[in-house]
Amino acid sequence: MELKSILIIAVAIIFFGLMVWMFHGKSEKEVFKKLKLFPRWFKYLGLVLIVISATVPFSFDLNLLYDGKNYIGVQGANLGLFLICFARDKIEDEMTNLIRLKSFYRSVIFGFLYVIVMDTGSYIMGNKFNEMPAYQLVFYIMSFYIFSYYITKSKIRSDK
Amino acid sequence: MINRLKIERAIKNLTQDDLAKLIGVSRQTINSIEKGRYVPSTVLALKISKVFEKPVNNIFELDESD
Repeated sequence: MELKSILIIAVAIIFFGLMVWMFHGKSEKEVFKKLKLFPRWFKYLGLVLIVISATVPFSFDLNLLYDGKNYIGVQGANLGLFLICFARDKIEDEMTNLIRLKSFYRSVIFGFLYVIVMDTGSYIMGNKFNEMPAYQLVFYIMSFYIFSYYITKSKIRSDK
Repeated sequence: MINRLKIERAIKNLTQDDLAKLIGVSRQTINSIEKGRYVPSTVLALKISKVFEKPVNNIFELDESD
């Protein structure tokens, strides 16, 4: 069996295991209880990770670039964005949860539309489908989520 | 939904920040509730009514659009 097939099976098993762990035998109240988020300082850790991922592979001679592209940096930036997305705010209440939910909704819609537009656009223009890597889509979705979340919060904060 | 949160706050001489701390939410949440941009959950409405020692119906009222 190929390594890729083994990886796909392993990811599928982990995914179903997580689903069972999250929902099996739990009451509705337990499933819908407060969001579990990372501590607040993970936000700063994420920022540092993004800065390192964007600069270090280009700054030093570490052989981190593949075909002149910063693939490792993109993965590091994705991890940094993930930490920022799921880090707690100073005060987490029901309105914050609603803003999070709406921002996720918007970002998933944005990601979906992005894929559709890029695919259709490249097919119409170049007669071939756009091959977008998964990490790029994840990057866009998380970036849009962070943008939407903080813009909404700052609008609420500035509205006296 | 119409609410009398600002009036009740003034009667009790509480700032948005004071009320927010009493019920464990952010000041922005209180501000949004007062402006009618955010409708609080039943739990939060009950917490607010407990602070003002008044029934929920005296603080929150249904609007014609609800």
